[in-house]
Amino acid sequence: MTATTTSVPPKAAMKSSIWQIGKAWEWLTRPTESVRQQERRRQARLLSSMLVIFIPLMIVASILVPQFANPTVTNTFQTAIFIYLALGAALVLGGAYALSRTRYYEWGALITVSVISLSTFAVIVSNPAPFVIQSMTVYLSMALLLASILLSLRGLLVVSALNILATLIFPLLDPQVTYGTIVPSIAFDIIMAVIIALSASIRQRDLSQIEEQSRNLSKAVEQAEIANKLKDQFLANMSHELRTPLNAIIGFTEVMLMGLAGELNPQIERAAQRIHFNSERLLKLIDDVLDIAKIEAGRVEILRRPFEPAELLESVEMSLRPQATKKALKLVTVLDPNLPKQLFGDAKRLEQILENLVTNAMKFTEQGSVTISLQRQSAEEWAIVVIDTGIGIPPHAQETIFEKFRQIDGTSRRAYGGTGLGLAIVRELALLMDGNVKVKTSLGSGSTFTVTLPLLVPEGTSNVWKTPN
Amino acid sequence: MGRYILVVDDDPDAREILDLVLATLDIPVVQARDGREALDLIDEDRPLLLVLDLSMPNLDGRAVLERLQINPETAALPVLVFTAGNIGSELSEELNVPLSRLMRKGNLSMTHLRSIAIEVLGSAVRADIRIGL
Repeated sequence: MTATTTSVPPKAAMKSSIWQIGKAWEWLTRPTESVRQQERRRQARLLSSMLVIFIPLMIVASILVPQFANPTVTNTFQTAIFIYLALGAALVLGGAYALSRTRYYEWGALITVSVISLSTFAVIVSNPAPFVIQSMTVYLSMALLLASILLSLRGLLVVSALNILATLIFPLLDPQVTYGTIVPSIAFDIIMAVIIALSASIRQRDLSQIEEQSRNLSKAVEQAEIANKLKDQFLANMSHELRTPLNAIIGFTEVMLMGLAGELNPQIERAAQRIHFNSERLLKLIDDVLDIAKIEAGRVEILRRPFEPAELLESVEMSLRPQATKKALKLVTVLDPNLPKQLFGDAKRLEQILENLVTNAMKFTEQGSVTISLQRQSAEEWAIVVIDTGIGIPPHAQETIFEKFRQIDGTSRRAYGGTGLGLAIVRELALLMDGNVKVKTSLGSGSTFTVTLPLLVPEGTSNVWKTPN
Repeated sequence: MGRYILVVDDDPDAREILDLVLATLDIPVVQARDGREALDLIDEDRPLLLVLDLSMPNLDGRAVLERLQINPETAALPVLVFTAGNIGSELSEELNVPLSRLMRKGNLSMTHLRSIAIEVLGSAVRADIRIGL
């Protein structure tokens, strides 16, 4: 117990000192609000790579220029030292460049700035002649320039201050150098710093503006998303709110028709039947309009996952059997003997397609049958086929039956009831699933609707569905 | 086990309709307005059959099903789900209720509901009523 308590203070002290350095580092390198990390990183990389190219050129120049410009000054020893220095610098800058490709790119930037500053000072210290000071301090502004891009504005100010302070030390190092000599270079540094700071702040203002715009934009997008969600919620609520009273109307009418409210005279029975028929029509209309609104708004997602096709067909048959029985139609499901046990697709939407096709088929069939099947077209293509023995579709209407809202006013639809949205929903859903829908029909001898869809057989599904005998 | 059918729906009209239809089976029908009431009633006395709406305040049908299914004593309770929403194999899977026990409101549902109820209740329904259908 004691051991642990005594070991705590030094640890804490160390931690706090690291924290201090970390804090100082953060303060120096913190991106000025709108300058994004990405952008800083890209610039760091660009500048470092420029320097990496620049240094070898400098090496070549240092060998060639003295020999051509002024052969008398050629000093093999000095040239060799210069080459070694340049090689060292190239290595350091290469390292800085390598760092700039990693997440430590800020270190790369710092090394680049320091190398430029330090090498400049090194040249001056090795030969502190006034003309050297005046010409070399110009290079310091390069460090400032880099600092302005790679570091934050604060980093730039710190680098400028350090450079100016360092320049102020020269007269102390060498009595030959007077403060008069360094005034121009200090003035130059200050002017450069001011210009860079000003231009940086102008750029900053532009960036802030862009930043603000994109903030506003994302706020607007967020609001739109919220509004969209509210609308979705509203639609979902509405569909429930619209159905509840209608279901009461349908339910009570059924109760009457079942004779549970007492014997009905023929007129009342007829009225109850019409109420029932029309309320169901209205219910279907509400469902279809809400469905198509959902599809139109792109709020219908296709979720592909393994499902059992035989089960799907069975479920559709089961839910539509009452309607078929009511019209004395035969509802037949044909199971392909090669139907795999599982397929990969959106079962819910397939069910919706089937329901709409079968409902449509039953609507236009007075006697005979409606046959449902799922057939393989090719390796990855399956066809939902619904065949009826109904009235068929006249040629001029075959093009338009899949169009939305088109048929709502059609007189034939009025005679047969329904919204005419069912087939439009089928087509929209088929298209959403990268499929298509076709109809083959002739007047008086029924129609065949074929929805072709890409459905994959999930891997490992080799077991073939056996037709129950 | 109690000898009654429990009807759960937040819409009073829906409850009344179900009551009228199921009363023809000559088995008492008890109504509950939400999942909470339904669970209380089931705790007191197990019904022969539960006819359950899905979307309800307080405790909805899904939650009721979940609680019934995790309790071994009530897991076998026959349930008919009677909902205004879409039904299908997906819902059947989600609720863990056979597709044949899911019914959508509207669409000749009362006659259908009555026949399914007779099928589920089996011998609990008087023979003459069973055959009368």
